[in-house]
Amino acid sequence: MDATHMAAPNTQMKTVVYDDAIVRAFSTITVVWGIVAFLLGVIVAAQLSFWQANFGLEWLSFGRLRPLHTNAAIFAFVGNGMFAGIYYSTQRLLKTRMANDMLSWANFWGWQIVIVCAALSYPLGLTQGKEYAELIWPIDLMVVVVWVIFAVNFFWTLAIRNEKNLYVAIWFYISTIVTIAVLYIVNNLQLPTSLLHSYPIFGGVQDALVQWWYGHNAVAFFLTTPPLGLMYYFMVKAAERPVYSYRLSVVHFWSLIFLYIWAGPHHLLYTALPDWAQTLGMVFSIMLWAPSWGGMLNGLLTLRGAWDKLRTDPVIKFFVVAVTFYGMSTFEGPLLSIKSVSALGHYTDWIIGHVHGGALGWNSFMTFGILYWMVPRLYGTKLYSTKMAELHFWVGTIGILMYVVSMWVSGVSQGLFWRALDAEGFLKYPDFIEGLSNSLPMYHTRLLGGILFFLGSFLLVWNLIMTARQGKPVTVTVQVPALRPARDKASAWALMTSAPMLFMIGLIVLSVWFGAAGSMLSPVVLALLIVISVAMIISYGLQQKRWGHWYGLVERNALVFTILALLAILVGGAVEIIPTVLASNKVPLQITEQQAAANPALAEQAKWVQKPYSPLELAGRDIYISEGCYVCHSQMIRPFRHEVLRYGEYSRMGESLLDHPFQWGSKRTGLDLARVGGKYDNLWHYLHLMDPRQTSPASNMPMYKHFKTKTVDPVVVKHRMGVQQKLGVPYTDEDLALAEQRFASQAKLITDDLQAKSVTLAPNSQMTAVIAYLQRLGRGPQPVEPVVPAPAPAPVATAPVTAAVTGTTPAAAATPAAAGQ
Amino acid sequence: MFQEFFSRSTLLAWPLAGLLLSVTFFVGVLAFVFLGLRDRRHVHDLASLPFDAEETVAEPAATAAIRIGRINQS
Repeated sequence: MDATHMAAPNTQMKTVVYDDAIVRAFSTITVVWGIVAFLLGVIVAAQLSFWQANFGLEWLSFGRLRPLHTNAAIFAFVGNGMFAGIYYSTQRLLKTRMANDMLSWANFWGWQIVIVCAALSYPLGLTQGKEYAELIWPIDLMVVVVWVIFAVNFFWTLAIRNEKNLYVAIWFYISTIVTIAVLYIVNNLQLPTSLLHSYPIFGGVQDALVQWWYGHNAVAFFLTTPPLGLMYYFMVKAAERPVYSYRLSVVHFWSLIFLYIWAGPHHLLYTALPDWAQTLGMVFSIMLWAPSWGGMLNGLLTLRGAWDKLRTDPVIKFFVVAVTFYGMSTFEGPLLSIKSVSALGHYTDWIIGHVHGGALGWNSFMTFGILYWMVPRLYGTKLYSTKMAELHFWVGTIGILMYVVSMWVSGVSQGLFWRALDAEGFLKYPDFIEGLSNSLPMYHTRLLGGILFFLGSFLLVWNLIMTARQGKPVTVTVQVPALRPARDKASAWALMTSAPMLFMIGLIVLSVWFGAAGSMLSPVVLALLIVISVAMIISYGLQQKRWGHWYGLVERNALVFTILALLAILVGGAVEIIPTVLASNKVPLQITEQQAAANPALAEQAKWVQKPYSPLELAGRDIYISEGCYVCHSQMIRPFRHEVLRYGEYSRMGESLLDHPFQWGSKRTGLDLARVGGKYDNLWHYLHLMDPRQTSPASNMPMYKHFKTKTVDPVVVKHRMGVQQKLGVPYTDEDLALAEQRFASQAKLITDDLQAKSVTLAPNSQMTAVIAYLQRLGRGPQPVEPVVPAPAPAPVATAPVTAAVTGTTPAAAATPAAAGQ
Repeated sequence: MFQEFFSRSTLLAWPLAGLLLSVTFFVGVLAFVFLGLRDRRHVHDLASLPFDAEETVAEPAATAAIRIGRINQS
């Protein structure tokens, strides 16, 4: 024990018994879910290599299994590993047992129930259709309850701690708890249509921004801050020396949580998101380099003087490689956030390589290292086999490298392939499938790498089982000073209203105001900023001791610390999301002819505004989401010549405003579908969905034969339209009243067309609905009743939309073909 | 790239305000670290927290349960 922490001679000591049973439970289940997540990864990788691996079963199709794989890896494997590490380290750093055993076990069992529910719901096609947030609303509620239980237990433990200072690892845990709560709740605001289905309250560009604000920060605050906190505890313990620089860890923590929250829009570069938000995301992503590398170097330099352990201790090996991958991923992330680099890498396998560098290299290896270090201690023994752990390390490392490198090669090749133009300025490779075929050798290499990683994890399982068997579960007791930490005289309120805090709030408010102020007011605000800054420096000069003392007080006051962390993460989200919500709410859904004549710019904007889907199209869209089509098909054409040549006019913000949820996508294993409507006839879509190889011989898309036999209930669709109406989609009461009739008549148009080509299809089949939806994409409302054909129809590929009785409003019939939907 | 950004941005002030905000925040954190955390001994104590509770007694869980029961009774 450090001399300064020795109890005074007359201090009464108390015995603290750590609850390690909960740590053992979380450790065991981490390994179990890890195997499941890795196996699912191997299966989905195999499906991309060999379409036959979909087995022709709807429950095992790539679109349904891929979300199961990502959720299993993030929430089941890393999540349980995180809980194990947090429960172990928190008790030791706060020198107290977790506040309530019942809450600990409720956390454990609640989390496992959530995971089992997810594992059952995704293969059944029950999803919200938002990446890493696919869980349906009842499971979302369960997640919130479990998270609140965890938070109550954690903060209660903070309140009864026997150590006055909060170690840096605890800060990372605090930021994780509060930020995940905020992100999860905001991104999952939704209106249920039934027990198993809902629509998010945000639509189009708003939903895109909120989703990637969540999506990126789920990576930040679930896959980064908890492992960083664990790194600051377990790596330090394994190296048997304090962290290299505690000061650097302070800078690392505050800079990281403040900057990370702004970076979400880098997932939406060159999309229809407002340009300023894209730039903000890019700039903050690049700034993230500094704290991320600060943290990485702090971790690696902790091993100063102990590098010799790298030769003999597999735990250190895992940690060093994990932190190195953290550095590599946090270099690559900002690099990919530069707009010109994103133009090449976005939608390609490069992103998959980047993600897995982090997930396999950083998260998994960190978790493996923690398990190898912690499990022997939980069972009062030594690791069963160091050599087996060494072998696991090398097999896993080779597997990761095979995976990541093959995805880099594939991704960069795809980016270059898609954008290649010939001497005349036209697409050099117009056939998209040719690019997919070229990527197949890399997909096979990725599969091999994944299999290696998967097999390696069995070495971990065997080693840990044998370790547990050769030892016995032990309970650890410690003697700590019986004194509760003396409550600091400064109350939370006094700290929050102290000079440093007020100056900081003043500067933040003025900075945001500076952004909102017009050209006349902004110089005044800037002058105020300078005045406040100077006043702050003077105040510091006069009260140096008090200022220095202030941070120490904050660090010991968990409530104030939590409030400050919350403020740090809220600023970025608010600055980005609120203006975007306000801006897209201003886009006019309909304008009159007089308004158009008076304001041509408004007329141009209105031309691209989406019209509501017909009942049949909405049903098709819900099926499209349920099948996870968005994991391979984007609906967002970027403003590049090669994309416009390949897919059509670039996408505008107004075109997806009514989409709840948005379907812009993040990966193109298949083509972009934003303007696929009208490019092919109904028969082509039917054949393609029944077996994609009939129309595209080299396709790796699963078959959707079940669309032909499964049906859609128009009554359910009508109810869903009512819910969309509540969300602001401009369905009229007449639209709702005629929903079933229009559903049937539009379906008949499609089935009659197919019947004429010798294909019999039930009008209420899922196939009919999906074809209706795909034919709608990129076009205005489609006919929902039989009409007299126009005298001279243009060729199918470029045919304008025929004015007809529409599924929604009569005005919509005038929408130009190239305009919004 | 910057030329394109400046010519197309209609809300240039937001990124600038964001930058200003983050620079302010970053400088503030640095100031606290280098001016507020000057007590080397205190910093060393904080960094050594993971090594504080070394006096641990490990014993099989079943034995511990009996002993803890006795502690609680007393």
